Amino acid sequence: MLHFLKKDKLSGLENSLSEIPYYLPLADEVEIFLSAYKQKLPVLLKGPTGCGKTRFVEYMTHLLYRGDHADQNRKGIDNPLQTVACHEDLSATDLVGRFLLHGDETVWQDGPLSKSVKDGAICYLDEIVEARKDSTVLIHSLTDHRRILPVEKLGITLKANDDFLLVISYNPGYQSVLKDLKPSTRQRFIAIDFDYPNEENEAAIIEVESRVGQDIAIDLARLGARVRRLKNHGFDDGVSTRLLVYAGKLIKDGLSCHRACEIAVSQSVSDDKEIQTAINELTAVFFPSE
Amino acid sequence: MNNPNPEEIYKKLFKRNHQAAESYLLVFKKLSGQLSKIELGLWSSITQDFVEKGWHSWRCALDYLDLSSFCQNKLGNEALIHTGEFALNLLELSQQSAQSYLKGVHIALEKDRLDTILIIESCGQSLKQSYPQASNLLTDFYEIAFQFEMDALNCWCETIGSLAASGRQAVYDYVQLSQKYPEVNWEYASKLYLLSKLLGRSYIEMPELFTGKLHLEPGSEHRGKQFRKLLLQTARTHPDIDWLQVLILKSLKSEKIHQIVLLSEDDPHLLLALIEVVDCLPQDRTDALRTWVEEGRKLSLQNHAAGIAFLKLESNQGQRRLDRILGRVRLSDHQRSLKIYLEGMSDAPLRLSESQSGLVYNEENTIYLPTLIGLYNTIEENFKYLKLAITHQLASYEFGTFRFRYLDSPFPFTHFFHSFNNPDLASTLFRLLESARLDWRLEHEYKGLKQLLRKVKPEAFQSLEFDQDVHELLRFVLWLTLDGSHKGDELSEIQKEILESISILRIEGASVADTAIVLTKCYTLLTDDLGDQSICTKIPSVHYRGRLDLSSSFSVLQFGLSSEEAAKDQQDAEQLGPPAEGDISELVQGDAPDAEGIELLESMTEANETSKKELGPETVEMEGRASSEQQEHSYLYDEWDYQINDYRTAWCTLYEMRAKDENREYVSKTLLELDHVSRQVKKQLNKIRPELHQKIKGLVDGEELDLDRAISAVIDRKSGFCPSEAIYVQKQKQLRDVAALFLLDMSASTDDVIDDQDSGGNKIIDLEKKAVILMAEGLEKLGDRYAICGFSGYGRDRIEYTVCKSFDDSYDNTAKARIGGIKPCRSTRMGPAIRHASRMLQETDAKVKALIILSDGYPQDFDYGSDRSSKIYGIRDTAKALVEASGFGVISFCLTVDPSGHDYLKEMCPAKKYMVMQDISQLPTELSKIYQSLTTS
Repeated sequence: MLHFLKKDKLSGLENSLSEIPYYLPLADEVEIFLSAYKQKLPVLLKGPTGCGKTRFVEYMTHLLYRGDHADQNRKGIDNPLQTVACHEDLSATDLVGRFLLHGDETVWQDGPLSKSVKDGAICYLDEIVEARKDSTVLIHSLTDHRRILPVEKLGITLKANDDFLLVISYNPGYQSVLKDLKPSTRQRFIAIDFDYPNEENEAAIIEVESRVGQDIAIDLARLGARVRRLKNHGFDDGVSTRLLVYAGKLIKDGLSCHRACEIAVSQSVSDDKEIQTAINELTAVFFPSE
Repeated sequence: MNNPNPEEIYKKLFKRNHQAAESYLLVFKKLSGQLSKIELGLWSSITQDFVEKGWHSWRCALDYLDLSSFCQNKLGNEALIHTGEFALNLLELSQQSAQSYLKGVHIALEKDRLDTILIIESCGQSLKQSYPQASNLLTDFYEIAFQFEMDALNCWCETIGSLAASGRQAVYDYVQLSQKYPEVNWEYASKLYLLSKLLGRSYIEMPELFTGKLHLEPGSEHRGKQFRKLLLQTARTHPDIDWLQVLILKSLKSEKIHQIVLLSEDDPHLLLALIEVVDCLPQDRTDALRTWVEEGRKLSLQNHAAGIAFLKLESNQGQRRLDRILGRVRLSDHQRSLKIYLEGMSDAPLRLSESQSGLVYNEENTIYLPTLIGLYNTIEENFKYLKLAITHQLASYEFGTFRFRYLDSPFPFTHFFHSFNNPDLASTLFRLLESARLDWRLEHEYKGLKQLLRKVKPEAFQSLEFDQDVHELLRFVLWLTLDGSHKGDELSEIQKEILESISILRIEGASVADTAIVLTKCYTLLTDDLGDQSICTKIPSVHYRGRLDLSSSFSVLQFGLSSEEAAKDQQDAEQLGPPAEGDISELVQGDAPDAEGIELLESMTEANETSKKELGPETVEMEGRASSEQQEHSYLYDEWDYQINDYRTAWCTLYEMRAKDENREYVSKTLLELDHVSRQVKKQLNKIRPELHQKIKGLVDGEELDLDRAISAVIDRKSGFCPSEAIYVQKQKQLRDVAALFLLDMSASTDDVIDDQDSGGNKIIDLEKKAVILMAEGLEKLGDRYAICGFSGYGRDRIEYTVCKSFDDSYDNTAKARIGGIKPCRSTRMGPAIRHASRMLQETDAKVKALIILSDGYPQDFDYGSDRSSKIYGIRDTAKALVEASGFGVISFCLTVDPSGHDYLKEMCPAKKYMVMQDISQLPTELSKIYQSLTTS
């Protein structure tokens, strides 16, 4: 039942430990995060899908555990970022740990949260509101002055390592009232608001990430801004920077701009044919047919 | 008769007129060998009579003498004498009529139209008998009659003969018109006259129709259409008159179209259908039309009615096929995607709507576009045209047209234009230059549009039709604004200067202030060469640019503009001083432009107000429902015609309105009267409540164990697998998401009193009302969304849909009063009402959408199908509307109080989706049961 590990992201980070993940700071979020880490303040990242929340956490992890802000202790941690993609079946057990059957015996297996608490890593609970209520309540004791994690099944309480930090994220755009964060939970975090970058910054991101030319990157960013205006048509977040980067990558690989945007943008954001037509027409405004 | 003595006669003639006497002798000698003595005597006597009849009658004698030898030669002796006698007879009336006759005979002889003479004489004689004193009429008659060839003459005289009965003036008018329009198609005119008699109206006074040159006369198109309409009406009521169809064909404008129409000449019904729509067909796409007509013909062989509907463009298939073949695009088909495109391109809350005039323009936050676009031959090209038209309209906001400032004036454009001696010219030039700037800005900003604009601009220029008076230089400016190519050495000095000035607008980032500067330069160049006032400013509109509305209140909308751009605009505006030609102070000080300026200012204000009025109640809403309580909004709906097995497109006009009649006591009285039933209904609806809870299995926590899952978990554990923890069952609250619409039949028949002892003298409408009142009371407690509407109307052009309570309304006193005020009205055209109710339900986005129809009989209306006595059309259309509703997720139920309802309801509604009330008094309680079954599936 361990659905939660974003293996690709973890492995990606592990492989690039020597390299800093690309992240373009858009405001003072880096300074805030550093300060929060220093003060052991849990962090809530709010923002639409694909705007760079996860990348930001990776970037900050690298900065704090491998980069300029890393100390020897933190550099020694093998897996400094535990990312959990929360879902509706995610229970407290999934986070804390469980007994597994091993032959005739049962063996305790730490969950990602316990592991982070013990190791002093960053635990990132992505889309926290998707998780069941019992799991969100579990983090309460970790996010106040106590910084402890009760492990009910073992009958112990873990004291968080000094380097441990809990980071959660959620997307206010498409959460229903039922799934909103309870005030008792959200008021335990400092909140950093994320949004899609402005056209200039987004173009820079697309250019670096997809390696397309500057002109194309600018036009992709402008297209993204136009598509995001169509919020009221069933895709609240508009098109993500991630999708625009994908479009750029496809273009870089030789696909026509129209086709790349059709695949990565219009088809991805909606199944509605008329919306797709409209987005394709917006694409055609920026990219001449070949 | 004795032998004539020419010398005696000569003397007598000589006393009257020397010339006549000399001529007599001359002709006498010529005829001596040709005529017998008797004939010669008669001829001489006639000549003498001519001379002696009156003071100037010798002129007739001269004409006769002139004619005599020629006439004898061509027609013979007898005809010569006859002609003389005929002319003498006319001379009794007037010398002019006799003379015009004799001259006419001469013409006929010259043109070898010998047969015509007798016909003319016969017709003239009839005319003379009818109006013995009408000398002028006869004179004109003979003057014109001899101009015709045989066929035309027959038709002409036939009409004269008929007209003779209508009065002297009618004949006189006809003859006058005949003189005025010598190239008349007399066959056509004669038919026209007969038609006018059939219609009981006269078209003689309409020269264009009379002459049959509908297509040649400028400005006659409208009359032509009117006329054709009348012809068609007559053709329908007089199918036996075959020449009517010929006449209709003659009135068609284009020879090519004529050929297309003739493709169906073997079937008069198809022919008439085609003729009826001929104005909607593109004149220059005959090949494509041919394909379409062929399809219609083939269809008619399988289903004649469908073929006619196809060619009359009444059926969906007919319209769609024509659009596809011609590559045309209907705005309504692409409105949503274009609206989304518009939203993407602009931040402002803009709407798209159909332009009645067919022009592209914007007004009141709305961009108006043509309903049907067929400028190009393919759907793709026409769609791109629509897109370009929208983008160009948006460009005026994106690139700051309305940020133009002039001397802090509240009406900067007006004041700026009136600072020139010829404000019209300034305004025209501004629009031209600004539109060009916007296009060039679009090209700079959007690479994809650059490609499109480069393609469209030259085509747009080619399609322009210039007024003859438009000066070459103004055309040159327009040419340049559409990227017209030019060779430097072929340009005049002025043209070169204009070219250089305009090139500023091509620079990236050119602002509206640059347009004003270029305008000032161009204006000076043009007026230096042509003078101020003499320049015609009637420049045709470039199709995709449409009309640049500089008085648009839309201008206040703020579009995303960088601070740099805003600053540049401001800077440019400051740099733009008053133009050299005038000053705003002139306007203020009361010089020449003063009054005009004020007038324009006023007209601008008025224009804004007028535009608001124009968008009033009669506007056909393309989307969304009316927000205003008082307004009546119309919607067009297709209707299913089982005979053609297709929809008749936009066949019905439904008017949605708020109930006007109110009865404030009705609801309270009903509740008092039916207290016991009300409680029953509430009890029934309360049964739905327990079902609001649902057992959810497979949870990790819950009130009880799910035995199956618990056992599986134990097995997993024993087997060494990680067991699932989701083994509990929980009762969870499920929110009801129901929207129900009660649709009441308000036809006249619901005014009938129920034939039932227990009914208490209630009418059917009362029972319907009471049933929904009880339901409303119950539903208020249940919390479901619901609406109560009624329908009636008369004919397909007027279906009335009355909203008593919409989904958003609360069940307050107003809603109650409206329900109480429901009254029987007219017919029962059920299909469109169901389609509209279904539309209302779709807008709610509720999970369960229920439509409950209460009626008292089968659907009927006076034009619900071609055969009024047949019920089938209405039943099939209603059935189709219910199927459509089902397709949109609407669950429908028909409830009727008509005892014979089983007969048609089983054909109209799906099984178990209808009920015939045997005991009408049970309606309220039955309704609540039905509601329960519909909404708790």
